[in-house]
Amino acid sequence: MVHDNNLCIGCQACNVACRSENKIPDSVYRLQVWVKQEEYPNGSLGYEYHRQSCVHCENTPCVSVCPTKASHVNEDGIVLVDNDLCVGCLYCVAACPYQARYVHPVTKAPDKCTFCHESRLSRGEEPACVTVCPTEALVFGDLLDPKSKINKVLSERVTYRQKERLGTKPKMYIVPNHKGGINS
Amino acid sequence: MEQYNTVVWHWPIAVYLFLAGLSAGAIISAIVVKWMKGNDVSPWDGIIKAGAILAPVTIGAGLCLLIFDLTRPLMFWKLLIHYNFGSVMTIGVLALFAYMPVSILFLLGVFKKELAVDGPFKFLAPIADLALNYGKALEAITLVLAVGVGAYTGFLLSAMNSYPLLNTPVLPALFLASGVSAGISANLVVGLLFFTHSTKDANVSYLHGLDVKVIFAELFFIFILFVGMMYQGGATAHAGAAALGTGGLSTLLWVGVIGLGLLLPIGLNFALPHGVKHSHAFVIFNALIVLVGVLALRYYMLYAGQTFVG
Amino acid sequence: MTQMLSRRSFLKLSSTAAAVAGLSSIPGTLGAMEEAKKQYKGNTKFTPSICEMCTSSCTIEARVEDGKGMFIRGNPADKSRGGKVCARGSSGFNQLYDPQRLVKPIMRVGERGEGKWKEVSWDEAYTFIAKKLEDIKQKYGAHTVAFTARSGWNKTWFHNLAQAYGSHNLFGHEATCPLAYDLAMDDVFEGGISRDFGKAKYIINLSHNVFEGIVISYARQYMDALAHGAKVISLDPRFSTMAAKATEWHPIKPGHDLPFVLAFINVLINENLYNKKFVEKYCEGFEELKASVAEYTPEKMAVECDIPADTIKRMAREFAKAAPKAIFDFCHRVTLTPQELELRRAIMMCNALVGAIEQEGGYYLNKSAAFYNKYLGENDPKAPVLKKPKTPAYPKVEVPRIDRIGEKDSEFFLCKKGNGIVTLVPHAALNELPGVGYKLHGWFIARNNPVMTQSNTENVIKALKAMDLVVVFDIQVSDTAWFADIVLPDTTYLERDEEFTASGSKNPSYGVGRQKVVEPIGECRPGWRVAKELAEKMGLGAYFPYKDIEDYRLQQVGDNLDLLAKLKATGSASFGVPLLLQDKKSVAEFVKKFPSAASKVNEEGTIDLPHKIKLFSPELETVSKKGALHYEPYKYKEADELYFINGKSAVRTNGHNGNNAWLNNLLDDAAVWIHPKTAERLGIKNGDKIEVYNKYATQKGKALVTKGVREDTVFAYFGFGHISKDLKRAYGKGVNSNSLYSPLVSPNSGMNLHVVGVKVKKA
Repeated sequence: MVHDNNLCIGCQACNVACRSENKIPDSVYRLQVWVKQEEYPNGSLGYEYHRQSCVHCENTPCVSVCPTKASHVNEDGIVLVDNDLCVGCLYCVAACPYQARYVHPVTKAPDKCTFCHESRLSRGEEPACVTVCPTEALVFGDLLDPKSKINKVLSERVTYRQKERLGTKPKMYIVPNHKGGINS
Repeated sequence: MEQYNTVVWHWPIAVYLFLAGLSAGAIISAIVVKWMKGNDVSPWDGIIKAGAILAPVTIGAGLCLLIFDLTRPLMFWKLLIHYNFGSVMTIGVLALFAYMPVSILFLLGVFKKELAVDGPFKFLAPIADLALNYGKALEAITLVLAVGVGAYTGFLLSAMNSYPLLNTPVLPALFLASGVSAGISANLVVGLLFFTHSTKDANVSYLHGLDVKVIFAELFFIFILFVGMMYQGGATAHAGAAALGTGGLSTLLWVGVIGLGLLLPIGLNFALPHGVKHSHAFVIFNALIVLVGVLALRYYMLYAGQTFVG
Repeated sequence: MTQMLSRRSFLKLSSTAAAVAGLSSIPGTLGAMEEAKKQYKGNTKFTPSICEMCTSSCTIEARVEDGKGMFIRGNPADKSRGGKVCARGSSGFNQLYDPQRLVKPIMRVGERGEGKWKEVSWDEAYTFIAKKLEDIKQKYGAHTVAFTARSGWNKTWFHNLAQAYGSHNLFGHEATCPLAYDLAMDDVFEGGISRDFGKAKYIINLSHNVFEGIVISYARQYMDALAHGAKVISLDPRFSTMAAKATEWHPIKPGHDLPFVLAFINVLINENLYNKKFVEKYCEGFEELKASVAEYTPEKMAVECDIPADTIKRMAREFAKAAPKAIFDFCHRVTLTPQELELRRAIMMCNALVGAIEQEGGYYLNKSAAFYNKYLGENDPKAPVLKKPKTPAYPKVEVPRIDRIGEKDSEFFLCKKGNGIVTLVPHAALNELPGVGYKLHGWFIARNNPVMTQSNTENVIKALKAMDLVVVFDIQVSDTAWFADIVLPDTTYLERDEEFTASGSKNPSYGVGRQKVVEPIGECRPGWRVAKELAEKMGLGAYFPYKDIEDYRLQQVGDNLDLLAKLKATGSASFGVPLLLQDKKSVAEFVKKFPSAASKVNEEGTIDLPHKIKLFSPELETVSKKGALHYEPYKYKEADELYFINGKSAVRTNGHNGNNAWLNNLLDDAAVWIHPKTAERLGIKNGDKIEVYNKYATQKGKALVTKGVREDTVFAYFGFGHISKDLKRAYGKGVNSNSLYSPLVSPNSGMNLHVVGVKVKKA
């Protein structure tokens, strides 16, 4: 997925649509967009938009620490939790460098963004957040398909990924603001 | 918001790490003593008896704590049949799977007389014999497993690259040393309090002396852990500095872990006259402050590691 | 294109869009069927409708499975909105299933504002209201009851009821928000205008924050324009999201936008940057305009508005250079100065001066069916016009309205009777306004929250307490309902069908209004039904000659069942092709489609504008001597006070969804923005508890120290500090801005003023 800081306006439509589609309990969030005011070196102001959700690493810290393989990656590259195997040790919650996981109040198993795998993807639709984003700041697609929209976007816009130095190889690409710098 | 709290594992895990390290250290020091000339035949020294009881009991208590700390405790058995060999937790489960029975075997061997000969559990006699006849081999295996258990508690935390304070190879070494120290101290306390008559002063002296050396090692490991962080630079150095100087946790480190649990025992060891420092009262007192220090170390590493993420 | 359906076969279809399988029986309709929809269970319904979480009224598509509301997205068939919704729109079902909703009528049993209620039946409620209305009619006259209905969804029913009852004091909420620009449009252009943001190359934006006061189509168009290299200039006292996305941000002094625009016009005229040909052909009053702005030089006005003279000149030059793809945005919530009418007229004149009218990237006139049809020949098909059912004549009212609209010398003569100057209602309840001759004794409020949204709170509450009857029709016990005698539960927008709507942008368009997505919960009833049943109780049933909303809609479309089916299936319909009168290409397309329109084309290949653009207003001159533009400095605050201003948050709509669980969780308490230097002076640190106070009220809040606001200004999001205890999640959280504003009603426009002086201290 690509999250474009230039198009994002921090409106939280994605946040609420995710909650609505995936029936998330009120006390937890799979997805939030944090808005932070920044001052750039030349004195001008800006807003940075941080999408707080699972970044679906390729080199997943959460999957490598899970003792029962409840936390796993499916064939599409989406990181999922198999509740049948989960014992609730919370190793994955602690190991995630992005604080993407939370304990689901009802199932008591760790839960997180699944790119709407069980809801919309299985029906051939895009994730809820992408579907509602008013300014098309989110782009979702198949990285392995050279003709997909996401690959087009990646070839046209400069992107970076969070905490790349940890070697997690996230699949969430951020397009930085045209103005200001990157705090990676 | 609670879900973004970087502290995921709380005090039950700290206590478990303490108990696991203690269990491993107790049985290691018990076996080391048992292998020494003069201690290698029945009746067993009180220290050996202490270690034999402490090892399975503390690890059992620790595992119970762990199971109840799970958010889905009724599913705990899935850990025993589903494995991910890339996960330290699976390795730990498997190690404990082997460690539990061998430590119980050791217990049966040491307490054969009290349980199976004089006591009511006659049916345990053949198993106890097994433990005694294959003593050296069993104890060697137990030693290896105990080292594994002691170290794995450190690897468990160090495998997470989300926490710079924990993500260091020094941690398993630190925890192993600390666990041995705790095991020694626990053995001394239990041995001197409950098996007073069978505990030889020479062994007490030996273990106490060993403990002092282990404490030096611990101090060294803590030192290189933080110095290493400083030299890593960037966010890691920042986290390290914060961990050393911020709030109640840093107080716990300097006063509880280093001051009370490490420096004070060493200091007292060199400052006090021979008679005092070998008295039972002092040895017990010394052991208790070491134990407090080890628990404080686990608590500090767990909380500070999860709090100061840079 | 939909096929012609016989009346009988059409009526068999349910009022919501047919279930997935059913849609395929209408060949070719847009609603059926994205491939993905086939993956849902058979009883999943997708219904196009219109959102009601704010007045942007974006098109939506609601998904219901097994009768339970699941997910809302935008209507994918709507190109301008791209099938998108905002956070509030996504929360629609959360509002519907909110346990704190009102689902039964309740009547007050204590004093007004005590919050003691008893449940009553609808019949009891109607009886009570009918009796009270009759009492007031006998004692004071029916005209002493004001009827306010939130713009867009209840006016038809309740204004009809009001007039049948005998009251002509009809109001919408406009005077608290966009009225001034409506009036300005009518004065300058004699009709409504829209802005073609997407194609513009230079946009000047005066605090029009479309990214937080989200209007999905505007937000997308602005982003589009920016992506294609447009320059957006944001002039806003605070650093809003619009300011962040804009090319430049200039912190203009609050309340001093008019000096900026006057200087802007001064430069356009004196540097000969205006389009002489266009002004000569299509405008009148240029000489008067030139004379009136002569004294407003950039140098003089720079001191007033705090924008450097050189910047003003540069912007005017860049604006003129970009024309006709240039827009001076006349914004939305036009409450920045008592001279709102002058300000909006001045802004619109800027676009007229550079000829950015009826071309891509500029202003264009709204082309309703009536407007559009004027350009069509005898033999061309005509855009359908929605009909209104015939009702008996309303009783005549001899006395003036409280805003005196309709009287010869009314200063508000530009305002339509259906909008009215609602901000005068509380004043008219407490005093006899000059030239009116009576006080108001009753207020019937449908889906409006004046306690929260009309300045100022205390004044409105005093007025409510002074009245004989206060009826509120709402989905919750709002802050206004808190002081009512009786509160009637409205359905949420997802539980009702509404009348069809007709409007026009570049060509006539029609909307389904709203469609019922699920059955109403509890005993909630929609406006069309409540008005009708109450009327029947009052013996006025003849004014509601329809059985139900279906019947009403059928009467609206008359014979045009095509339109009916299309609206129900896809949510919208349009007629003809987009028409921009001054754009040669567009005119050529138009003539291609409607050949007899060729006669209207002039020698340049464009079509003449229907009216002259008024750069000077003879009517305003006659009524108020304000025909020309003139700047009257206004004292907003004392020298030792700070300016207090408001704005919209993307997750809250001004008055009504602060109590929504999901939205409240995202933002339940808005902090007060203070500049670091000001904060330091007052000894306030980030996060400190503070008090914001002036002669009207004292409000407690939290400080947010940021450079994103002027040193002399403090800012807070609007719509917080709710005072109804029945809004349990929102009660008491945040600063109630409305209590700090003055009760001023601006001359000629009737707007409230959302700039006031306050002091701030650490609490």
